[in-house]
Order: sequence, then C-alpha cells, then structure tokens
Amino acid sequence: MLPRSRCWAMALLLCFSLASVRGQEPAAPPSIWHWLPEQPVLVAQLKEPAQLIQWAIELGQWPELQGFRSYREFLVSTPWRRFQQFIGHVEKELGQSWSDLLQPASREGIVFALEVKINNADPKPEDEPRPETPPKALLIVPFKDAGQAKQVARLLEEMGHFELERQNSKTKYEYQQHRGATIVHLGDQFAFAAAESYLLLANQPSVLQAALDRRAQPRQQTPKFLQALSELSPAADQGNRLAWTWIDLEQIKRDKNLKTLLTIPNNDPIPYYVLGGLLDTVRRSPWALFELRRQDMDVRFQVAMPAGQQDMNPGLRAAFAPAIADLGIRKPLNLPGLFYQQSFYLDLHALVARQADYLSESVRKEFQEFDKNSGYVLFGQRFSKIVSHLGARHLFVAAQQRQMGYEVHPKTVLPSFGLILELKDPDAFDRAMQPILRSVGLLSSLNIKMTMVEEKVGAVPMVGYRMVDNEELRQRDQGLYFNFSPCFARVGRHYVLSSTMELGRDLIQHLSHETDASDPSDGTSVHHVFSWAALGKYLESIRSLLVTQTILQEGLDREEAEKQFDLSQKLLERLGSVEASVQYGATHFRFELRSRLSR
Amino acid sequence: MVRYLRDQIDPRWAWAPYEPDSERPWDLRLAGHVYRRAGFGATYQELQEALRAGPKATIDKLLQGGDGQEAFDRECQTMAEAIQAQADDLPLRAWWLYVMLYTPHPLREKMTLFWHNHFATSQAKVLNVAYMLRQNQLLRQHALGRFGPLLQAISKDPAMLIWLDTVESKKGKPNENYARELMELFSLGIGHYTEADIRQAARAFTGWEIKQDRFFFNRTQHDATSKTVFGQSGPLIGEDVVRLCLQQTACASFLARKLFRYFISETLAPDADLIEPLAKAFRDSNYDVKLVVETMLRSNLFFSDHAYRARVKSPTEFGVGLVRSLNGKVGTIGLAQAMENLGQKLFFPPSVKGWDGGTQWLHSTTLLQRQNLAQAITSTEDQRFGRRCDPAQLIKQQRVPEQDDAAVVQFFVDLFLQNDLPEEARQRLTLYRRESAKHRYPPFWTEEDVREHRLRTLAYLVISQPEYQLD
Repeated sequence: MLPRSRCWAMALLLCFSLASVRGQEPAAPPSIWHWLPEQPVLVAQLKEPAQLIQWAIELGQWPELQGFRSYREFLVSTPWRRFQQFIGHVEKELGQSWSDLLQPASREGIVFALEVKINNADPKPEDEPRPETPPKALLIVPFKDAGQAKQVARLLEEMGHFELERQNSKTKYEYQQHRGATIVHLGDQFAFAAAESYLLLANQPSVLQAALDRRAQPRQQTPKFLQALSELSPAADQGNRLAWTWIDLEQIKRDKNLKTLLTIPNNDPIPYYVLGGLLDTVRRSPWALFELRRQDMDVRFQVAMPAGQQDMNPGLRAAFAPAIADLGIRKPLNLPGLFYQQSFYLDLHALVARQADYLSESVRKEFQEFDKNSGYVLFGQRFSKIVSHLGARHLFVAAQQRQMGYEVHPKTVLPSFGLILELKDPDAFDRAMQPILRSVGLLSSLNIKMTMVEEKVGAVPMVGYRMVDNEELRQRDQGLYFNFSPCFARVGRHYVLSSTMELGRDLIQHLSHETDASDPSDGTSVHHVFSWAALGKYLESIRSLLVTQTILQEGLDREEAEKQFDLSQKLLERLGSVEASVQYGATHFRFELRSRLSR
Repeated sequence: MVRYLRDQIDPRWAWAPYEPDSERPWDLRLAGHVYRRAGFGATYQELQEALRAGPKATIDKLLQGGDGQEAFDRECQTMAEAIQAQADDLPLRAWWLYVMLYTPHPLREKMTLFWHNHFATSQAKVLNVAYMLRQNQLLRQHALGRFGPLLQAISKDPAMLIWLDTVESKKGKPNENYARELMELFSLGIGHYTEADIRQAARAFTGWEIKQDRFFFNRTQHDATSKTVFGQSGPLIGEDVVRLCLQQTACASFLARKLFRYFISETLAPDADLIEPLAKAFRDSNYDVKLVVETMLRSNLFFSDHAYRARVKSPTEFGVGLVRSLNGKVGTIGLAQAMENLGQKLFFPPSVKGWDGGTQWLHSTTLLQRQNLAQAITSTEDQRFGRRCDPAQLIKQQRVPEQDDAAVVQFFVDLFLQNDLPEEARQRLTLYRRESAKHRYPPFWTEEDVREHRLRTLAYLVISQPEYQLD
C-alpha cells in the first residue's frame, strides 16, 4: 500500500498535470519554453489535456465496457470515488467546473522537462565514489491568469499542510523568495511556486530558482526540440497531436554502456538480429520524438528519428531496409481467421554476407565456425548457402483453427501459424530444404507417432505430417499434439511452412492466385496487423478456460462469468485492429502504432 | 511451549461427548471454536444459528455439509477440467481457494488441506498441473473416508509417483524414497520399522510407472522375487506393503496423533493413554477417518481450555477465514498470490514433511503480511479484492446501531473473536471508535466516507489483535 501522503501527492500531481485553463488569448503570449533548461534530456508536452480526458470519457461510455462487472466495480471503487470527490473539492475551491478547467490547452499545454547528468567517465579503482546527482524535474502548468495560478498554489499549499498535520508529520513547508515568486518546498524533495500565469512544480527548490532566472533572461534561439517537432511531425491531416515527448539522444549516448552497444563493428550480434537496423538509427540520431495523435476514434503513436537509409550502415541497410521505390514488403493477406500478420523485409543472405559492415572480426570468425559445422545438422547444406537462395519479403501469420484436422479436439486449442518465404532461387532452395524437412519429419515421427501425407492443393504438391490418432497421444498433454499437422510446399517463388495442413492449404491457394503482392517501397521494413475481432473468434475456442479464469479472477458465478465473456467478445469487435510499422525512410526513421477502432 | 499433562487429563473424560453446563456453557466463544476447527470460520449468521442450534446439531451440520454439494462439485469439476490443461499453477491454487471459500462442506475441505500436508507433494518437482489437481481430487474424495483405500490410492497417484521417485524405481535398482516416507511420514512414524523393512519394501514398488497419465504396473521392471517386510515374506507387491503398514498397531496411533494436533492442540503433547482410545476406535472402525474426527469434535477435550485457541492459524485458514467471516466474495487469483507472501503456497509444501505449522507460521515478515492482507481486504481500496468484503456494508446489513460505539465494537469482536478479547484491548478499541470521530479527514471526504472508513479501520484493528492469529 502506498502511504497516504504519497497517494495525495500523486493525486495532486495527476490533477494538476491534467489541468489546463481556457485562457484569454493574450496579444503576445510569453512562451512557455522560456521556463525550460538549456539542455534538457527530455521534454514532454501534454498538448490537448481536455481532448485526452474527453476521449477517455467517451471510451468509458461504451456499452460494451459498461457491462463489465470489474469496470462497474471500478467506477464505484473507493479509490475512484475518492478521486472524483477530490476533483469536486478542487473545483469548489477554485470556483470553476472541471470542464472549464479542462478546456483544450490550445495556448501552451502542460510541459515537463528533465535534466539528467550522464555519467560517461570510467571510474578509476582508486576513485572515491562520487555522490549521485539527482535528476532535475520541472512541470509547468499554465492557468488563465496570475490570480488563478496563485489560487491553485495556495490550495496546493493548504491541502499539503492539512495532510502533513493529519499524519502528525514532522516535515514542514519551507518558503523562499526568488525573483518575486514564493517558492514553497518540502525540504529538498518537492517544490512549487506560482509565477505569472503558471504553476511550476519541481523535485527540488533549486530547479524552480533556475527556471525563474531563465524566465527573467529569455534566450533567443529556438530550442532543439521545437525544431525537431516541425521537422518530423507528420502533417496535420493525420490527426490532432495530443502529447509528445522529445529525448536528447546525444546526451544519453554519452553513457558508457550505451556507447559500447552502439559501436560498429560490434562484438554482440544479438541486438542486431533482434532489433534490425534500430540500433544503427539510434547511433546516428541526435534525438528521438514520441508523439500521440488522435483522429476521430483512431489513435496513433509514433516514434521518429532524423536518420534514414542515407548514411545507414550498408550491411544493415541491405539486410533490413527495402530500397525506396524498389519493390516493397508483402501486402497483408485477406484470409478468414487470421488475427495476426507480420509482413517483413529480411535479407538473410545480406545479413550473413555483409557481416564485416557491422560485426567485429572475432564474432565473424565464430559465425564462420558455426556455418562450417551447420552442415552436420542441415544434412550437408551450409546455413549460409541455404539462405543465399532466400529472397527478402516474407510474411508470418497466426490464425484461428477454423477447421480442426482431427476427430479428437485438444483441451487447449492453439492457433495455427504459417510462414511464407520469398525465394531468390526457388529450385535451389527446394533442393536444399526438401531433404532437411523430410528428415526432421521422419525423426520427429520416432518420438511422436506421425504419418506423412502428400497431397495436391490445386497443382501444388504439399507434404504434411499428421499425428496418429491413438489413445496414447489422446492422453498425452491433454491431446495438445492434435493442434499440429505441420506441412510445407513450394509455390512458385515462395515457400510455405505451416503448423497445420488446413492453414497450409489456405496459404497455398492464396499464393497460387496472387497477382500483385507488393507496392513500391516507401522504406517500410515491417508491418504488423492485429485484428481484435479475429482474436475474439479464436478465444471462443478456449471459452471454457477463459470463463473459468474470470470466475477465479473476479470471484463471480458461472452465469455472470459467461456474460462477461460475451461482452468481451463484443468489446474486441469494437476495438477493431492495431497496426504497427517500422519505416526506414530516406532521411528519417519512423515507428508507428495505430489503433483503428470499429465504427 | 509443550505442556505435558500426563496425570491431568483423564482419557475417559477427554473423549466423552461434551454436554454444556454452567461451567462450560455453549456460547459464541465455543461456536466460533467449532467453526474455526471444523471449517474456516463462520459468518455472523452462522454463529447466531449455531448458538440457537447447540453443539450437537452444529457438529452434525458440519459433518454432513450443507445443501447444494452436488451442484457445487459439478461446477468445480468443470473449472478443474479447464485449468488442468494449463502449465501455470496459479489458476490451480486459485481454484482450490475458490473451493475452500465457497464450498457448502467446509470440513471436507479442511480435511483435504490436512491430507495435502500429510501426503505433502510439491508441484515444484512434479511440474504437472493435471497430476496435482488429480491428487487434490483424490484427497477430497477420501477426505472423510477410510484411510486404507486412501493410502493405497495415493501410492499409485501419478503426482506422488513422480514426487517420491517411484517412477525411477526399477528391478535391480530400487528407489527407497517412497517406501521410507510411506512408513516414516504416511503411516507409522519413526521407530516402528527397520532399515531392512524399507529396503525390502522398496523392491515391492519397482515397476510402478505412469503410462498415458495413469498408474501402470510394468511387470518387466518389477522385482518379483521374495521380500520380507515386518516379518511377512513372499513375492510382495506395493499393495501388499501398504496393507502390511495398515496392519501395524502403530499406524492408528500415528494418524490419531496427527489428527489430534490438527483438531485439538499444537501445544499439548498427548501421552499414549490419551491417544489410545482414539487410536483403538480408528483401528476398530477399519480406519474410518470421519469417526475419529467426529469423536474429537464432540469431545470434552475439544471444548476444553486445552484445545481452545491452542493452534496458530495457517495462512490459508487466516485468508479464507477472513473472507468467509465477512460473508464476502473475492477473486481467488489475487488471494492465491497474497497467500504466497504469508508463507503457504498451496501445492508447494516445502518438503515431504509438509509445513511445520504452529508458531513457525508467525514471524516479523509473515505477521506484517497478514496485517497487509487484512487491510487490503477490509479497506475496499485494493483493486485485487474490490468492495465485496466490506465491513461497513456488514454493519448496515446487520442493522448495528452505528451511533452506539460500544455496539459497533461488540459486533466486530463477536464476529472475528467471538466475544473473547481481554477487557483492556476492548477498551482500546472503543477508545479508537470514539476518538476516530474527531480525527481530521481529507476535506473532500463525505460524511459517509468518514463513517465507512472508521468502520473498516475498526474491523481491521480487531483482526489485528493477537487472538485473531489463533485457531
């Protein structure tokens, strides 16, 4: 449990961070940025707090959500009730309703800045341990006018006094005068002051003193983060910007641990295999911008950095970034039952062949050793040889099992998974893979009884393996094995691998009739599509388990838990889909996460 | 502290049925005692009904269980089938807590918990939720039945076969673990068997395996040659060894002592004279567990000061009892997680000996965690437990006059401590009740907030009394 004082402080901070006042537009408004330090490591702005709250309220009114017992319980829960009462109290004291207080902060929004001293030195063994420099945090909340800002500060002070007294705390407020403002602080932990039409909050009084000094002598040049915002922010037609955060990567990169990670050539290949070209992008970018935008009921979260394919490490570019205007990644499939797809660009051949561009010599030697020995497990084929036949545009899918391939149904139904690989040299790849996949199938059959099935899907031969339906396998792990009938097939310039023959057939049929798989590339390297509604259909197949979990989680009876499940299905339908993409543009990097709610 | 009372307790008096009299009247205190031992505590309504019904009818009810058992068992079975396919053990633990909280037959569940500690098997080694669940259902099925069939069944239980390495026991390479624990911990106790008995018995359990998730007797791996256990020779198999254990005189005494500690007292070390009538009844009834439990629950000794609050509540008894007494409903996933911090993770006993229990349950950390759990449940501010265990609502439902501070204190003391609290502590609670009206509360709290907060805090303070830790 949090101590009550901390709950209070958090509630106050939350309230004030959400509060913004519809201001009378001054003729020449003083810029909020003048309060900020010269070199913040992080700046964040809550641009439209009212919109954000309004949007949350709209979401909260969805009937699909209101039917949930846990949601209804939350709305009458003691903490939520107390929070609402607290807001009511603030409204009463300030003489304004929350809706007035939360009108769009069209003027300047609420701004937060953080200064951190980065430790970039290697301490020598004989060095005395250096005292840690705490980060300096500053929150600036604009109000209608100076009078209201003072009123809010006074209320904050009174409520703090009350809480300290109530808890018989020995800590008392202290007061400092600085440049005409009264700084109220609790030791070196928490400070606030009303200045002009702003309420300033900080974690140390010295942070407020510095802010007041800067305000008195404003700098002339445009701060870096504002330049970033105008440089990389997408056009206004992509919705309203609700909030953004800017991070100074140049400062952060001085940290010695990060320096090691970002050095090229590197001794650790794993981050490159997992994160693709992201580390290289971070290495070259002076800053990163995080944005939250809303357009109607869609929400878009974006991370942008000013480093694109130009100047990208050539090996990593060849492996992860499709050249602009060349053929782009595969378009998502339109098959029933798919709830997740990941279309991605990955040139494994380039990743292997151009290791010298990004990996140190010692790691390359290790890989060469691995490659030499790979023939023992890959039936005489070297790993590097096999991947040289692969193309770069691939697709991974997860689907609900629409048709079960067996009479016996496993207790837990797993989704089907499929992979479509693009091939550069289909014949050579097929020659290399057939013996490997068939041998794996044969060896697996020794452990789990399976029979090989060869069938034609249209004109395409497919090789699959079906579990033998016997009592032993039915009992083993509650029939889990009957979720699988692995298969593979070559379809023109593609190779299909699937965990079930049913999905395999769907994928083969789709590829056989496919005409235009890709559009010209805009540098998008990965595109994920996730459908909540399709996931809901999959969850229906494990309904019994989820209903039981609801009973245990919430202490409900079965009837009510069943209702909750039905409601969750409706809610999933309403949630629509989520898409995420990674783009290596010519001069920028962009990660985008977009939630598209159903209308 | 162990009290040796060899010359103080007359066995005939001890096991004779209790009849209320002026010295030991049937009151709230004893009604609460019965419900704590034979279940997980009582609601206010159950306590009042017990007062009206008297000890005999109350114990009859607890032995039989309440209405709706079949429907409840069906529901639990449906849930069990859903969770057994999971690799995660948290739903399994939550499932059992759900059964304990809402079962119409708390004594059966209390006995299932007893057997879980007696045949302590841990998921940490078994690593199979379905096996652990099946063992739990086996314990429940035999909870108040006969010990013989239970001991035979548990010997072939897949979880036990893995836990004590019986599955590894092959002809020529017998594993002695099960044979040893069968005698030492499950049936006879130290001193009633020899090392030779164990070695010979281990050979009888060779070839006991699991096939298709069931017990499988693999004749090719079984040592079919002659063995001698407890002086009996022949080509003994595992069932024979179990039968021979049950034939030993020590078996009934061993079990009776363990049940004595569970139902009567953890602090009283009973001598042979005191245990023997119980052991004899157990033996003569062909190990009828229900009969022994009934004898104990109805006995003079059970209702005497020797037994009253002579046990420390286990974390499960503490957590489940708290929710039950508030007539509340909580999600048991959160409760299972909290219970872990209290020192009892169900299905994960620390060793084959089970949990030590007694004062081992309480130390600075677990005591603090008990207080935290009590506050989390009664404050209604913890999202894990919600508002359905609200002492303030209970006061409203029971129409306790809130303006009467003494009546409010009395209600909670009755509910949680069955009116058994030192006067000094009661005065402190009454003082808090009075003074809390004068405390300063946040200005945005309504009168109702303050009223409810004071009631919830008072309930929490009553639960925080040392007496509440005792069973």
